[in-house]
Amino acid sequence: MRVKHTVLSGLFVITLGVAFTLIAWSVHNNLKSAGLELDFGVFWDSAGFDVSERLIPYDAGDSYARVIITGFLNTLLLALTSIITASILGVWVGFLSVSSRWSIRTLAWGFVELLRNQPKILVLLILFVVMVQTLPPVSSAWSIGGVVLSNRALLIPAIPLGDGILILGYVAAVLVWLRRRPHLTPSLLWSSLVIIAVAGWLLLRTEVPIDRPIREGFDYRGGLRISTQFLIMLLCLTLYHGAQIAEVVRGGIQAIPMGQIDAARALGLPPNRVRWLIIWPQTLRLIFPPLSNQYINTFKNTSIAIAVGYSDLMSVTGTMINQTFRPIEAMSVTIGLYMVSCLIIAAGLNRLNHRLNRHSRA
Amino acid sequence: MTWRAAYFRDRLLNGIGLVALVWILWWAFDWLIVSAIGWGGDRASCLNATGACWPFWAEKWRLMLFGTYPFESHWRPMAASLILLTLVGVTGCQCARVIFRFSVRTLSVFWVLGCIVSVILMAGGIFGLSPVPTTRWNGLPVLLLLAILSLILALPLGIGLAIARVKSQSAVIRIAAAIFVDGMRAIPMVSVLFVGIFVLPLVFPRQVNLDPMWSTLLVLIVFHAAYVAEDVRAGLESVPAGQSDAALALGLTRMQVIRHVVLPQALTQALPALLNTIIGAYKDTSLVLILGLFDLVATARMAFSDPLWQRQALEAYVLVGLWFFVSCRFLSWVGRRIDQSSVR
Repeated sequence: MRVKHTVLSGLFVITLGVAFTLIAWSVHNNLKSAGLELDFGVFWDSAGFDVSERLIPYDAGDSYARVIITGFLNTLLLALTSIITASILGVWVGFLSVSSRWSIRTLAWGFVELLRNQPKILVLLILFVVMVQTLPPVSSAWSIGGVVLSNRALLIPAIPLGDGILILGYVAAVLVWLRRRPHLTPSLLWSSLVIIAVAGWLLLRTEVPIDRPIREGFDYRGGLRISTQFLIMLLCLTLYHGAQIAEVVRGGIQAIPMGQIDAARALGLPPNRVRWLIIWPQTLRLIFPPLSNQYINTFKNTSIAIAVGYSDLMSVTGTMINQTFRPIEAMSVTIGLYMVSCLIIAAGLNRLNHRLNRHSRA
Repeated sequence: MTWRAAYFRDRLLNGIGLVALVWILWWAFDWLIVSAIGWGGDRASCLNATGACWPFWAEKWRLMLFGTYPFESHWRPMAASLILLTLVGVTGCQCARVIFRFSVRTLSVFWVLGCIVSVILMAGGIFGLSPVPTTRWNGLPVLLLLAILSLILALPLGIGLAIARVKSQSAVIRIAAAIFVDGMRAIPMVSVLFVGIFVLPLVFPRQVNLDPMWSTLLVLIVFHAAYVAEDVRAGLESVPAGQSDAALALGLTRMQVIRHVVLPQALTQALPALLNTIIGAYKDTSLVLILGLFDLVATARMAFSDPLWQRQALEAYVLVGLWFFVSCRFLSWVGRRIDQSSVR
């Protein structure tokens, strides 16, 4: 028996090797007849096309390597924001779908069923068409309180990065400090008043320069610019995965024994606390594995952005292939990036799952 | 908040929900019927209408279903789609234990015949049917053919991969299968489709003329197989070890044990998950439009890119959305029936 297995494994390895050699040989021949050869140096060539949005400085003269990284960062940004928004929507709708009120339940059910039974690309294209038909051109952009929305971009007055971090850090510090003291005592009240006074004084002294979008010729300048492509992608992934997450959450909540809820009510806990202190922690533990699956899917599904022209990893790779006709080099790098990030996300979520379940009796 | 306040807030919420529900239903009804231009109306009146434009559907339904397939031969894609839909319908009902009770063998013969006949109907070239190049295969039959063929062929491949991953005695094979399955599941389908269109033609010798339809089918098979393998693996691992021990003790060979004892139980266990994978794969087939293949969503886009009908984008997509809604609901109904019967 043992010998047979060794022989089998050997045969398998040899077959695999032969197959790979054949493929490599064939690829080599095909490329040679097209006057090409495999060369990853292409990544250092100048890309020559512009990317509408970027998190790192980039211009058309930069290399393909840089444009790929720019696209990859866009993918990560889109994935992260849509995971957050889809989770919020999903948990919310999930709770609505177990509401004791039938009208609310029906609404939630309708939303979930409508979205779950559509291909994501159709959801995306419908949103795209609706946006194109409803949003105004730049010349008649909607402007409310400094926020400007046109069919090109959403512009928000922005606080410079340094001041933004300072303010955020300050607010976070106060919140953390207050959270550690559950009972409001007079001394606490005084000290928080002092803190707020100091904060106000600081803010008044150093005027935070706010960067507002200003109309200049045919476009707006300044402010935080969020392109409509990003918004549509964000909306699409939020709705599509929000519906899927809602279904996961609903299943989780329904799996919680009714006795838990009855006991919490009997103890006199108000409904909000029953929801967030009794139902939710247990649900989260239960649903975490399918939830992580949804997060990984969301990350992978950012790749449909190519259909609306958001410059994510897949779409810059598409442009690169069209320009250089080097699909093997481009696709191997792109697939590698997707694969590595997926595995890292999966490993991270797995660890989180273990931490969540560390204290559960099972 | 006290329970009394919560009670009143709940009543209020119910009222708000009710108003929203009625409003949405009324809005849909208004769009579809009240403010719509009827079936017999003309294009000009659609331009100012706030509702749906039925003349658009009347004019474009054949384009949306079959795209640029030669107009006089539209019966062919129609017949091919009907054959495939009937096969799915019958198999679905049988899985759900409704009406049909064919043997597995009969059903398999139907499937093989049905698939071959529908491909022949689409492609032509024999039996006096004029040949039609795959570039003119559009709409519903493309969606159905790609989804069904890729899944049918992915099932055996996926089952094989799962067995190789769980049951193989050779570590090399186990690891290779695991790397393939986990790797494939870690990349988006769009990138796999890109590989199919751009890289695959380079892999085959130049004598093989691979057109986009078939290379897409090929990568779809490989891609879906990874997901099938993962579902079947979970099924295989849920079969108690005692089952195969007992079968081995009875003197069955390892292959017989897998074929007759372990696999039937594993597939029964995996069926609900497999059905979810099938629904997902069916929906995702529409992604081929990114590569310029014309499935149902792409032909809908084709219908309203006609300059005369540019305002009717929503009508086109609503029709396609309705189709997906109905077909996915059918598949998930089958899934629920299977769940119920497995509990019993």
